[in-house]
Amino acid sequence: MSEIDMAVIKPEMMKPYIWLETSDGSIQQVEQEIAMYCPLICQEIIQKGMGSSKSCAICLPQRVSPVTLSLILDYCRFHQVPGRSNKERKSYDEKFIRMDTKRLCELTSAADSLQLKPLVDLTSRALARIIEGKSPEEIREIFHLPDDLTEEEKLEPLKNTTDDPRIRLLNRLYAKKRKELRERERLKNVEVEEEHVDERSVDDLLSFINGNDGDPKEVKTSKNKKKNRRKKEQQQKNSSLKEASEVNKVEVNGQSIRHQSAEADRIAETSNSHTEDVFAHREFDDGDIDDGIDPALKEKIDREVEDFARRLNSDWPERMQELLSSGQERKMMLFTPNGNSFLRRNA
Amino acid sequence: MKTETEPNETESDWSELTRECLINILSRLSVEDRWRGTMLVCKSWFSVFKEPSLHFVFNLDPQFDSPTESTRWWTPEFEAKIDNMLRSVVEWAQSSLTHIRIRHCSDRSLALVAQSCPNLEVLFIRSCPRVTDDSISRIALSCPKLRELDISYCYEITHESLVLIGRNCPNLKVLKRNLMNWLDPSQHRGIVPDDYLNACPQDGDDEAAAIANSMPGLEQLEIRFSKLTAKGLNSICQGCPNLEFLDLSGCANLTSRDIANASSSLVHLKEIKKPNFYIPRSVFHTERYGHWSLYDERFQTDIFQI
Repeated sequence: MSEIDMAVIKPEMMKPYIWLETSDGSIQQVEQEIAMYCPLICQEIIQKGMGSSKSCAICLPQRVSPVTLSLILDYCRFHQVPGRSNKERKSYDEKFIRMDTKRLCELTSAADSLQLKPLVDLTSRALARIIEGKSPEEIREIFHLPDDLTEEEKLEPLKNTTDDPRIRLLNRLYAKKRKELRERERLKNVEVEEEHVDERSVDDLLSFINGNDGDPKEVKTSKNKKKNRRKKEQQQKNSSLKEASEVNKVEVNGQSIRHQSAEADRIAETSNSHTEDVFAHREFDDGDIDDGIDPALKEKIDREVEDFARRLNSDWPERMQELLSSGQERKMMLFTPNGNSFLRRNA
Repeated sequence: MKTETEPNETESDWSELTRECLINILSRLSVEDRWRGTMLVCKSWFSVFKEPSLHFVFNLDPQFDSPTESTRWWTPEFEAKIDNMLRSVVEWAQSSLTHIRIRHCSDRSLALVAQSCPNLEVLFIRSCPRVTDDSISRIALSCPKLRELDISYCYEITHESLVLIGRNCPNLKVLKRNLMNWLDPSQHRGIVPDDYLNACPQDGDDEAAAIANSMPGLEQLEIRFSKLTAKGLNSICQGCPNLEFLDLSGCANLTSRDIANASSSLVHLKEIKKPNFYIPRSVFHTERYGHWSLYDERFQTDIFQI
């Protein structure tokens, strides 16, 4: 501790003291000059004349525990000394906030309740640095927070508020098709597994593994076979994906609207670079909403969906026209994926 | 310091930062960190995330500042995403939004901005193929405090909107109305839809007249690759006497003499970016000639300026 610090604390200098009561009921005697660095305490002393004796100690806010109070007073003790350079203050601040996140949070809240803005800013900056670049899961772990947001709430800022409500029905139709596809694929995989039953004896397998009786060429060909098998499996996967995307193409008024399958979405998502996807959120898929519904109700919904799909081609153009014409005199351009519908101005 | 009783630390729920503290912390994070991280943590943090004081500024520009543009940015799906983000921010800001810097939005979200952001001062909406005169005229009528406007690469906005903006936003100091490089569009090919590239506005002089007649207080003007002629430039220099910065890069219809004559009346002018380009060698495949390098330096001088 420097001489200046010692000078501040020396009792023989007869510095006036004040009494402070923390949240747990403990009462502490503190140098007035230091305590008055906190605006809240300063107000209590000047306006209400509190803290002069133990019987009328200043009651500190609930969030100020004895431990946080001692930290706050350390901070005040250093900063209220005049003549310190900015470099010294910065260096002190950096060391001061080297503490665990829990204590940092408590200190932030306590400093805030004492209206000690410089310390609030310092600790907030430190906490912001901790949060920076972290995923929601990591933040939850650090701060011991519950994961109580629903998928809908997470997507609320990105959801299309002007969507036609019937689009939800269309999504269900897509989801149903996706389920059927998945089932079909699963069955196909089971069949493939059944086909590849190994009928070689244990001895044959062991000799193959150990490389006995077989010339190196044989081993090499087996590797190639493995490669070919992998290639075939990959091709199968790709073709099934392609099939999925084909099934999810729906003709609307002569224009194909493509709805990617969940798998394709996932693949596309991983391939997108960080910059491409501005604040990527998981897309909320309401495809499985129907799970666990009463069969009769499910049947009714399915009928509704199929009916909607049938009516889609005839009804959609008028509906779109209605949406577009309302509130807009100027013709709106529909930006189609092939990009051939821009109005040319002065071309 | 004397302690009366031994401090025994009470077990408080330390994660429960006060709302004010949490706002203070979130205000120090980038937009990306807020949207990707803190917004999705839990209900209490999400409600703080919607605090109006956190939404004075909505700046997505850093997200788009990558050397290569993405094809995905020009899709309707991406545009819808940006629109929804902007609409959400406008809702949360409760008319306190002053700065918007985004790209690839549409009339759908800008109409809401016009309706709900009377204090808007900065609006940067580069590369918005579906922003039209409709929403810009609404912005002009509803956001009189506008100081800076960037409508570069927005080809559906005409000179009519510029007139409205000029008349209704007397504080306008900065206007950016750059077009894509139509002389050598190779940098945009395959990313920007061809039809949009070809729809480049041809009415450079009309736009120049609109700027000159309605924006007398303008201090910074960027009109890169505009098709204005000497006539248009003259009207700008006469109508905007306070110009300090003028960017004419790529304005192929202007000669050095035109620029010198017109800008002589601009007493406050500190910097002017002249066209200073030559026909790209890629057009003529001139790299096969060894003597091309000799011309490189000379083409950068005033003698060879177009």
